[in-house]
Amino acid sequence: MVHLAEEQIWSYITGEAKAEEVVHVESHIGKCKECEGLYKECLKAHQELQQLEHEVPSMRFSTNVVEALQDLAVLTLKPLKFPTFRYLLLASSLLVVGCSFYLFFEVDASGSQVLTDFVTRKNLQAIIINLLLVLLGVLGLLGLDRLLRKRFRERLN
Amino acid sequence: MMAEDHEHIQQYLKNQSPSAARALVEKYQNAVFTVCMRVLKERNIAEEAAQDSFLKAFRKLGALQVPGKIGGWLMKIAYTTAIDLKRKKNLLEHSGQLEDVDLPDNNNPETLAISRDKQAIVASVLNSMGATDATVLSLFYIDDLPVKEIANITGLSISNVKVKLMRGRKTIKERLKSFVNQDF
Ligand SMILES: [Zn+2]
Repeated sequence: MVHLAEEQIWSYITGEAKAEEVVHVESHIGKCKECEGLYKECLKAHQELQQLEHEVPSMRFSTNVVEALQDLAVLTLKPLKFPTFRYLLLASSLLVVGCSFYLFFEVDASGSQVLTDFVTRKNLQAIIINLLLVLLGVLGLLGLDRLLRKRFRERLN
Repeated sequence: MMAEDHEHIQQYLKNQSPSAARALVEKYQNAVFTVCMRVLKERNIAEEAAQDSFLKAFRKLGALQVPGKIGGWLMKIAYTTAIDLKRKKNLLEHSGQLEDVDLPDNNNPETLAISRDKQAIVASVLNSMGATDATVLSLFYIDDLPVKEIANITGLSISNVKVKLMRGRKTIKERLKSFVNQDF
């Protein structure tokens, strides 16, 4: 009598065996102590395997993922539409306007004549120059933001 | 359940909704983490890989064709990510460990005697197996996935999955047998 192969027993246990195979395995196990023993060992292992459960990550796992995702989302936002050429043109024309304003007021500021009670020419000069400086600063930051996002995305891919 | 996934995916794609992301992570984190554990064996490293897997997955969520298949899709990403990390780690450590050698040391009577629990033995055998063998066994028995899906996740052929399943079962069976024999 040829004994059963372990593979036959396993496919019988997992239900993969075809009908005639099932009949063969069952009748053999019924009359062969050795194969019955092997069958019981396999069945035990199968049952233990079926009781296995998922591994569980730490409690903070989902929070960590969501937070990392949000950090990533901020950094991968599309940069503001700001074509480099126009950006440079705007910045330099602002600079030119600023310089000419400054010079214009310097030349004619000696009199410091009163325009209204409060706004002297000197005052007006300071306001306009400061405004232009703020604008330049904003443009500078936008440019930096754009550059960093581009770098970051290059690193991601 | 699948409709729920679909809704969360749409919400996330629309406005990167954190609550939709959290719902998806919480639903699949155990399955993803388990795959990473089978490959990497250590909790903290597996968790790192699991987080990376989710970040990758969310980044290409728009490319997911069938929302109903998100589970298998995530596990495939997790498996690839974990294997990559394992390779990098092995390179760093210069350890001569061969991948996928499953030779659980049978001469460890102390741990066996201490853990009388058969489940603990199965878990420890799983932990001492090669990455691929352990993953295949885990996907079959814990996630109840068909052989075809396991082949897709691990990139193995169907017949290769079957061979690895058989080898894993035999290893578990032998270890349980030696444990029972020791008991008497
Ligand atoms: Zn027999």
